[in-house]
Amino acid sequence: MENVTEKEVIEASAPQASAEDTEVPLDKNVRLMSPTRMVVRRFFRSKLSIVGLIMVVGLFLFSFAGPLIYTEWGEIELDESGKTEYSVSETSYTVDGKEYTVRQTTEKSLKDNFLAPPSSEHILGTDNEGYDIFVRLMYGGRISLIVSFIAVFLITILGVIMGGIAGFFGGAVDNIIMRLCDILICLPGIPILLIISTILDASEIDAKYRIYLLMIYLTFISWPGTARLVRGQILSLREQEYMVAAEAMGYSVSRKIFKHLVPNVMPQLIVSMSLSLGSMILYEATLSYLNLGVKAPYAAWGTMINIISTNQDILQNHLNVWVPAGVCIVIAVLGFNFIGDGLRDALDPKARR
Amino acid sequence: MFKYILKRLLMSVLILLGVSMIIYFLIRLMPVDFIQDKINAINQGGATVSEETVNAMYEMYGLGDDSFLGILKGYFSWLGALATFDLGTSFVYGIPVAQVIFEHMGISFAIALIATIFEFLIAIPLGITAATHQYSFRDYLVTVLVMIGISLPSFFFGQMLKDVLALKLGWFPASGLVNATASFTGAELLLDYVRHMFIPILTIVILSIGARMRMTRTNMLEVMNSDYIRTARAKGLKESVVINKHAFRNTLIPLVTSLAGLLPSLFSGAIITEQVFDLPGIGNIALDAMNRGDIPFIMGYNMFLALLSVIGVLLADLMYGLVDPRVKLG
Amino acid sequence: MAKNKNYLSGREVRAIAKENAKVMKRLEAEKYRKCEESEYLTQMKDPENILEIDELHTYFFTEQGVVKAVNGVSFNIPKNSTVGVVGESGCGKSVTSMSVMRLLQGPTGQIYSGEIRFNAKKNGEEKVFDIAKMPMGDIHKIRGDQIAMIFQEPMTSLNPVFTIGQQLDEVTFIHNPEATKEQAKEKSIEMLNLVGIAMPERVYNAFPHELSGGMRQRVMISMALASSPRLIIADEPTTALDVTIQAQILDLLRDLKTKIDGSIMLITHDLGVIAEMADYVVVMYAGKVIEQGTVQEIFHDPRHPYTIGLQKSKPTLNSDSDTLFNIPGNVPNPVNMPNYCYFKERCSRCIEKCSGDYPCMVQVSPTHFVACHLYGEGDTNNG
Repeated sequence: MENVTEKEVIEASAPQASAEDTEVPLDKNVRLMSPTRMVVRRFFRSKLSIVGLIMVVGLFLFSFAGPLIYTEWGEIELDESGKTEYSVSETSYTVDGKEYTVRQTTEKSLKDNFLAPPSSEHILGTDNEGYDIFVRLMYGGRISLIVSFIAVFLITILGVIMGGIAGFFGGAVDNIIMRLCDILICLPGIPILLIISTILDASEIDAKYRIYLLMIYLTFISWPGTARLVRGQILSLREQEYMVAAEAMGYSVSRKIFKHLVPNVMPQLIVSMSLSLGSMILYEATLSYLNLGVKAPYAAWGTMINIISTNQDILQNHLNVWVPAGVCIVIAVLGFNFIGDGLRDALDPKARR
Repeated sequence: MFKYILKRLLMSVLILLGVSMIIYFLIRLMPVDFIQDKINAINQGGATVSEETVNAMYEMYGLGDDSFLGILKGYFSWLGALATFDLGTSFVYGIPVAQVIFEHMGISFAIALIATIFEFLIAIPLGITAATHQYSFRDYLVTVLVMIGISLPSFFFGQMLKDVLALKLGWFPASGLVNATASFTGAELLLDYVRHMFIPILTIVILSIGARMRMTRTNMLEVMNSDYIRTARAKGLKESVVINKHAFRNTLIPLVTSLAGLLPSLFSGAIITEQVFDLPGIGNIALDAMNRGDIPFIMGYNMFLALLSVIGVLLADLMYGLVDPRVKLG
Repeated sequence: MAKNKNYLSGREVRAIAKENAKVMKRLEAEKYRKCEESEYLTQMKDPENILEIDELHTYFFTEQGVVKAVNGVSFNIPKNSTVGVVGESGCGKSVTSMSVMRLLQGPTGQIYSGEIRFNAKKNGEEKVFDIAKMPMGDIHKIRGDQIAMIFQEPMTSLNPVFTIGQQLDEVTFIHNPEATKEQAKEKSIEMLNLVGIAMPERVYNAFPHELSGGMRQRVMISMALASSPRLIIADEPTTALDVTIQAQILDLLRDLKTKIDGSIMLITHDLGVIAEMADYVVVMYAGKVIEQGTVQEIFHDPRHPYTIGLQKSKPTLNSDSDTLFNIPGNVPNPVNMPNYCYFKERCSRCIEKCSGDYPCMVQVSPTHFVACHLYGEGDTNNG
């Protein structure tokens, strides 16, 4: 009995061909999902993709709209409201068998209100210099997001051009570009950045622009990954029948590239872009942490954590100074990774479900 | 086979030449008076950089002559020195760079090796469960956890662990490799090492597990959909045998290949982790050297890293041929 | 997005997904349940049969809707006989065999309803199992042991990282765990000999990639035989091989049937192969059986217009025509089928009644059945 009801449900779930459709030939009356809907649906079916999207959009709003709404403090505006610190010292000594204790309290007035705990005035408190942490998180987010987007954009363009040339022309050109890739892949990442940073120090470049120069170098060593991907795709596509057909129809080179090859490489490229956004944010943060990237007084998430490598008091007792920046980095990277993963599943034509 | 290896070796030498050119170009970008400033700073810091060392370095890199021919001559003289494993003399330590690298390589290798072993031991079973239970709750849980691992910045996570496990709870020492105040011997010394290396290794394992697990999962999924797995099931094998014998052996191919590629990089040191926990590994030494302007050391270190990664690529290729009976090199 | 009339709307897609998830969850839970043997023990309708497939429905729950790949298939395989299942690509013949082996890819592919009764014989004791109701934990009682399968692609069906010997020995060990290594090897070599491999010792130590396609298919067959099954399912065993090898493999299969005293279910789209091998023929179209009978009946007296079309599209040497007959159109996609004859659009002999309900099975002779309105009024039995 139960089986029968179940069966009815199934029949009802499959949309029935309506009355006027009945005369349509059988193999035409099947209604499919549009490709766009399929991709969108697969992407949103995974809860992780949605979480990732929310994380990234949230961070964007926080970083770019945040400073416009919350204007209490600026990026490099010190809280000069001052602060009074009391330190108590005790000395005990014994005179004639009696014990005396002298308690000495020193009052110290300081110009800046540093290491203030979270309060209504400073949502996340202030750091060791007296800057508002909450506001600096926003500006740090701007740097991270801008820098990583620029880097990924450049990597993609360079990778597509080089990989496209290598794959399309083949032969000696391909060989040269691929060997160049081999060389760049063997270059150590951070150690070379250490050298470049020293060179930048020597050239006395404005602290504000250092990070951009370093990211340009990162672009320079990161494009081979994209280039290999594009080249591999093109090589396999070149063997496909429809490319042979395009050849036979006498299409121009640019038409073949932009009308036939690019749309086929796009899905993989989009996935690799969203994943490398995450890794670029990590790179930027690491550089800033090592004090090679964005330098004080400008804010970056990595720079905000840097202080704990020398100051153990902050590491232990002032979590509000460094933990929020770390959480921001994790949210950003995780968000892009979730989106990239979701896109990979959504764009994979072989996906099982 | 022999011909293939020879060809690959030749290619590796070519790649190394390319890398060396780029690295040499970088040092030529440094203004000479800047180098002099750095040397003065080191001297003021307490160490003494002898005139000899500086001259030897100038000579080795052919600095001072900025004409095209001079640069070319400088490059080849440096290359000649490299060929005999002469990486110059460290400013800070006053001994040959190769010797400094060699001395500190061990500790980095020990940490990396233990971390890698744990990484594989944990990541492979996780990847296999995730793949065999695709789209289940278990799959999502494992995926989310390892993704968080991938997304954690090493410096932030390392400091967190240090703060909680070492400073707040006091279970482990916060930094260094040995207890400076006590002098242990034998088993006690070993235990002391373990206690010091626990958090750094934990940090590295958690951060690196993700990538390996994803790799296992993807490969496993691909293998599970193949015809020979269907054959194995049709034979009447239990699902556990199908997974652990037939599927696993095939999943192992890319894993072993990646392990071979990883081997050389175990020597390269984890700069950030070593810095966070103040371990005297090669990465931390390099960071310190750079901050103090020890140019010969940092140049030598970069060449050392490039050499390791070239060897890694070579090993991975050769390994692939050994593990997969289908691949015939040549 | 939803403008195109041929595309599903977002609401429909969501409704499908919701329903699918519900049904798939229930079926998966049933598949992996633990239960007593008595729950799936049953009786054969005719004790002379080894396999009875009864109203089998195998569905694929896809995003686009429920694909009813096998939609009410019933046929029997008598003891010691070869039953050929023919049909175009996508008619559900492979899915039927996968359902019998319970090798469907979950969670999308599921046996939705129906019975697959199988007469198993272990240690002289006969038991009838309903394979469709067996939980996956018990399936090893049947799979590989009682029913063996030979697949379409010999090139990819052997595990590339184990030697032929290792893969053959394994079968012996499954069914006889006490066997020693030497015994297993002996048995494997014997099996390789049986399928006519010239140098069994050498093949035993070879990796699959070192063998040719025909050799690999022989190995696959020897693997299927190693457990002395009562039924061998051969899913297009010769499709991937060239013609001379095809003939050899078919000869081999025919010889073996007499040697092992079992039945063969031969799935193919090649009528020539059927004519040569089969005793009974089942013709499938779009997930349903449309005609079944003995090989003589199907070849000399085909009734269904589709079967007749199939016969006509077979190339013959003594024909005057330059062109080969073809049946216009394609097999319909079985997502949402209407309730009239599925072959109607392609049929040249349509009558008024064809717009009505799906035709029932009509008995033409004691062994010959056809599902077509052209024959008989008899609403005999919806078999």
